[in-house]
Formats: sequence, structure tokens, C-alpha cells
Amino acid sequence: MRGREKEYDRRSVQPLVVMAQQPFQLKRPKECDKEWSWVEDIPPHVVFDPLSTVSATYGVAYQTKFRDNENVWSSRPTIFVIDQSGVLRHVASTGRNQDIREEGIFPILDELDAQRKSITALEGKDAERREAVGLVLAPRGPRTGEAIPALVKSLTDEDTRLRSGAAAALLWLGSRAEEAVPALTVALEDNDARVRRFATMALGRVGASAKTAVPRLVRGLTDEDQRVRMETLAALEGIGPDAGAGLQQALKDKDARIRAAAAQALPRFRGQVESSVPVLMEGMKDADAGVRLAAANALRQLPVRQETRKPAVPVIIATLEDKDARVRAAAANAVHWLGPDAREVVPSLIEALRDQAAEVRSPVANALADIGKEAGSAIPALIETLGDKEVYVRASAAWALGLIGLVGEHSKAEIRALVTALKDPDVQVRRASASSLTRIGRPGTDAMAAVQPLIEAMKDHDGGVRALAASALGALGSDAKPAIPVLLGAVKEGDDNVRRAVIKALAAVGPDAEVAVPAFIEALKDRHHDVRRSAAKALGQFGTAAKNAVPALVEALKDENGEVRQETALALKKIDPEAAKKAGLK
Amino acid sequence: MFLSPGRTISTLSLLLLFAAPLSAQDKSVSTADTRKSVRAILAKFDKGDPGWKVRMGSLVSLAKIGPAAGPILVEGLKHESPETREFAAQALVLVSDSSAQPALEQALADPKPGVRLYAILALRMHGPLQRTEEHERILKEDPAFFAVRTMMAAALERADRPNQAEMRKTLASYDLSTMDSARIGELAPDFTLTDFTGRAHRLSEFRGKKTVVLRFILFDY
Repeated sequence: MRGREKEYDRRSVQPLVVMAQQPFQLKRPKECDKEWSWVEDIPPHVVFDPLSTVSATYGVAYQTKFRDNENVWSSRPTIFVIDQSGVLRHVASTGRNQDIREEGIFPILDELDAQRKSITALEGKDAERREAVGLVLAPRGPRTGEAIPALVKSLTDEDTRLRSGAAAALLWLGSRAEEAVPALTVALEDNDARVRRFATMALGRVGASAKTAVPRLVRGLTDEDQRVRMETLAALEGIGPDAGAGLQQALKDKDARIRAAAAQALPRFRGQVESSVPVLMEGMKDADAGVRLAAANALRQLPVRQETRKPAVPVIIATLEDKDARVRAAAANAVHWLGPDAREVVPSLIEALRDQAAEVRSPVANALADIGKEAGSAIPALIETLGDKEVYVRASAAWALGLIGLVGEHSKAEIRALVTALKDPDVQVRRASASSLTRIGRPGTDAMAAVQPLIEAMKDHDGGVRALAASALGALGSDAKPAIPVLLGAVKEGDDNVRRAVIKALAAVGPDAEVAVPAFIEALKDRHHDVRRSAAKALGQFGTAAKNAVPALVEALKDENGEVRQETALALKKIDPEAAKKAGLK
Repeated sequence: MFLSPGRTISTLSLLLLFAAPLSAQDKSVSTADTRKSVRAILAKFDKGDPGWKVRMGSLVSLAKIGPAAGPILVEGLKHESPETREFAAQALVLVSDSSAQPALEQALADPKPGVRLYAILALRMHGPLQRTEEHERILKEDPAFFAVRTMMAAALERADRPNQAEMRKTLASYDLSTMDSARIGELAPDFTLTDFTGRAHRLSEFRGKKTVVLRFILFDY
């Protein structure tokens, strides 16, 4: 709640946070380091529900189980707003594994307050409305439904305030408003945006029983009022599978904006993802570019079985030649979704690397990168693309080459191209190229040709390029021996990342002990623990040849970092077991 | 009151008769009926996660059975279905006694992070963990960084732990018909939970005074 006490106080609100863990489990990484600390100052508005009883009652009991794939043990992140009468007024969930940000709560509270004001405005009309409002504000079980006739009547009142009050009141009745579904459906046509919005929300809250409202509700996706459009999506989700079917229907609507909005919304309907694939494939052939774009973007969000994906291959191939560049880019972005079948798209992607629009060429190169090894036939085209006039296209091509890897017949040309890209005027391209060399360099391969250029790249003014160049040299192992002087010279670099990479690279390249040991001894005092750890490890590799390092290693046994101490102890045992024993190591 | 020596003896033997099954339960010797019902519960997990409601109902049933469920759950730790193993470990947090320790130690090598997590939690119910090589390895290397390593750290470093009998009592008295019963426009279900210092907070205390924003979270309070 940090600093938000005033915001709560001003609204007379008590925050209560429920944690699924046991209090003793709360440990947090201290900044980015691996040193941990126990949390001991948990404010009193945080309460613990480790047995899930409360979250089960509230229907958010994710935490009855530890979820491996998410590596978490928690509840489903949800907030409940309970008013002063103890009545539940609002439930909000991000629908994914994300906490609702605290600042998001205050607009909800203020909106609830505005709804309450709308509802109480009904009271002045007559005794019947007053009684209805009373039931809404202080529900009395099944009797609460008696408020509905008066509210339905007000939904068609000529006074806008009464209409929006009635819609808000029906919203507050939650699932009890089921009888009012026909009236609420009519209210979706109201000329007042507030009335339309409250009616939309009320229908969503009724849930599956409001399915008759779906065809009309779908039109709200293109309402002139942005909040109505947003609430329409939420309401459709509230109605569930019937709404998903309604959206699939809406892809045949005569209004292109409705078709596009429906396509965009479809991935939210998890129950219908399989049947949405053919619908969206049709959408990718729509006459309207906006619909094709929405359909292509929606398609790749559908978590479906591989068999369902395969039929989309020809559609994606055709869409790579769409006349609209945005649609072609969306098709390239969808290639990844094809999974193993993406390899069938490789020839078309090679063509598409020559697309006239840079916004297409870059995702095309990325698509090839995702395919990896199986996209080996694209290497010559990617090499050509390293000369593209757009920076981000060149960078994507450099990345792709690294991810595809060295392919026998092309490997010499590939290395040559990446080496040239090491001198690209743009830093992103140079980084991508160095990074790719890190990935594909192996001792005894054509990548040896990269040694000299990488030595040159160690003079790059960008630390990122230097660090990656050092790693790439390290990947070449003993083939990179000519780089030893340059690497030794970089041991005292100001940039932490560069020093880390350099020390690791040196250890991999394997310089002679007499030149390297002094450098590693120096690095044992580095300010970065990872450098110190790598130095200790590298010294250990020299064995008895690193005898000179023993005093420094004994000193390093007192390092503040546990991993450094551990690595130092190992090194010391290898270099001088006697000294290790003397230092108290077992 | 006067008792003949004969009656005293018969009263004593009567007491012993009753005492026998009671103490047997304490030592987690299970009857055939218990074994059957625990096996039936475990079987619900053989084909994957049956959903949180079934899980909750199963935990409540096992909390009612108590330590007598232990031996069958220990067998469940070796089941071929990862979901069954995980649930067995989760339930052992509630009912394990020291006899489950060797099996729980073995479960620390389970490929499923959830099994490891609950095994640690179950092990520490009976005292702080020893710093064995295996425990240290989990602390440093377990890929489930936030959950499993944190749990191991707690098990090695901290003495505080929940009271197993209290946990069973809370779960055994949970009314399963209240699951998923919060509805917009109706009274919010009441509850009492404690904060870090152990102080109880009851939702209905705020009625008539304040609006309550109740937040269920992942990490960040």
C-alpha cells in the first residue's frame, strides 16, 4: 500500500490483502543479487490464508495447488470490493497471472461511488422506486428480485438520469437481474452512453443466461463510446461460450468494423479456440484489410492443437503476399504459431525477405530465426539482407543467422557476412552479429575466420559489442589464442559486463599460466562478484601452475559472496590441497 | 460409590478396548476402511489435476481422517502419475508423522517441482531440517527459484512452523458448500484470518464502518 494510505482514508476504505503463502515463506531476493533476506515487516492489512479456505469460499483458490509451469503458489489475483453494508459490489481479475496494480483500485472505487449516486437518484421519483432502491442497496435474499419491475419500468423513462439509475441498479443486482435481460437488451440502443454502458455491464454480470442478448451486444464492439466498447468485451466474456459462438457469427457481419472487432476478441474465448481457427482463416481472406489484419493477429494467439494449426499453412503463405503491408507483416508474425509446420513456409519467407516494405522484411527474418536449423536454405537470402538499408532489418537478419546456425555449404559465406556486419555503422546490428558469432562459433570450424575481426571488435566503443565479442572469442576456445593479449588488456575494463565476459573468455581460450595468473589474481578483487567467481574458477583450472595465486585465494575465502567463496574453495583444493587444509577446508 | 474388584478390572479392560484403536490411529495404523477411502481420494488425481474444488474436498476429507491416512499417502508418493504424487505430498503436509520422513526425503528428488515443494513443507512440520548435501543442493540449484528454494531456505533457517493439528482442525471444519459462494449483490461471505503478528482480522468487523477492498495476490502486497 506504500504511500496510498491517504487515498484509502479519503474514501473510507480498508484494504485487506490475502496471501496464499505461509508467513514464514516470505523471502525476497535483495535487489538483483542472489543474497536473500526474510521479510519481517509485513503490514497488518496483509493476512494469510495458507489452507485456502477463504480463497476457496471466494472462488479464487488457485493456491490449493502449486503451479509448476508458473513456478508460483498463490491465489488467482482478484479484488473484491465489499461496501459498508457488507455487500459484495465488484469483482475484478486480470484474467492472467498478474496482480491488479493498486492504483487501478481507486478508479474502480470512484466508479462504484458514481453508480451508487445514479441509483440513489431514483429514490426521489416515487415510493415504488424508493423501495426498489432500498432492496438494491441492502439486498434481502430472494426478495431482492422484487425490485426488478420498477427498475425495468424506469429503463424506458424519458429522464436520462432515471434510465441510467435503473441500469446501474440492475447492474448491482448481479445475477438476480436475469428477468430484466430483454429490457436490458433494448437499453443497449439507448442514446445515452452511460445507460448503454451500465446495461452492457449488467448483461455481462447476468452471465450465460443473457445469451439472447449476444447478437445485439456484439454491435457494442464498435460503439462510439470507448468505455462501452471495453465493457462490451468484458460482458461477452461474462456470458461465456454462447458469446464466443456469437462472435464467430459476427465475422460474417456486413459491417467491416464489427468483423474486425469480433476477430480481435475471439482469442479471449478459450472454450472455442479450436473452432475459431477456420473462422479466422476465412477472416484472413476478408475483402477488408482491417479484418484481415485483425484475423491474422488473432490467429497466432489461439492455443490450439498442432493438427488444427497445419491447415493454416497455405493461408499464411497466401497472406504473405497480401496487398497490404501490415497484413503481410502480421502473416510473418503468425509463422511462429505454426510450430513444426512452419518449415513449410520457408520458401515463401525467402521470397518475402525481398518485400518492398521494411516492416515486413524484419518480421520475416524473425520468423526464419524462430524456425532455426530447418531454415538453412534461407542463409544466402539472409546474408543478402545483412546489406538491407533498414537498421532493424539488418539486425533481424544477423540474429536469424545465429539462430539458424552454421550450415556446411554456407558456413564460410555466413561467417564472412557476420564478420562484415561487425563493422556495421549501427550498434544494434553489430551487437546482433557478435551475439550470433557467440552462438555459432566452435573450435575447429569455419568460425575461426572470425578471430581477427572479433579482436578488432574488442575496440568497439559500445560495451555491449565488446562483451559479446569477448564471449564469441571464448566460444572459439583455443582457436582464439591470438586474442589473448587483447583480452588480457580488457581485464580492467570499466564495464562490468565486459569484464565478466573477458574473464570467462580467457578461461575458455586457455592462455599460459605465467601471463594469465597475475590477471586472474587481480580479478579476484573485482567489484563484481561474477568476475571474482569466474576468476577463482579459471585459476582452479590451472591446477598447480597457479601456485602464485594461493595467498590471494586464501584471502578470497572471506569474500562476502557465497558463490565466490564456494568457487574459491574448489580452486584452492585443486591448486594446493595443503594450503586448503590449512585454511580450514575439508 | 463402591466397586467390586471384579468390576474394576472389567472397567479397565473396557477402557483398554477403546484405547487400543485410538492409540492405533495416533500411530497412523490405518484400518482397511481408511485405506480404501484414502486410495479412492488419491485415484482422483491419477488422470491429472481434477480441479481446485475436488482438491479442496479431498484435503478436507483427509484432514478429517488424520494421521491414519499417512501410510497410504506415502505409497502415493511413488505413484506413476505426477499429479497423484504431488497431491500425496500436499496431503502429507497435513497428516504426516515422523514415519513418513524417509519417503518424503526421497520425494525431494521428484522431477515435479510441486512434489518437492510439498515434501519440504511436510518434512519441516516435525522440526527444522538438517543441512544435508541434498538439502543444500535444492537450496542452491532447484530450478523452481521462488517457490522450492524459498521453502527449503525456510526449512533450514527458520524454526517457526504451523501447528499441524490446528491446520487439520481448520480444514476439517471447512464447510465445502461455501466454496465459490461469493456473489455480486449479496452479502460477502464472512471470514477470519490472521496477520503476520498473529492478530485476527474478521471481515464483518468492518460492516457499517468501512468499505473493504479484499485483494488476493500473487506476490506484491
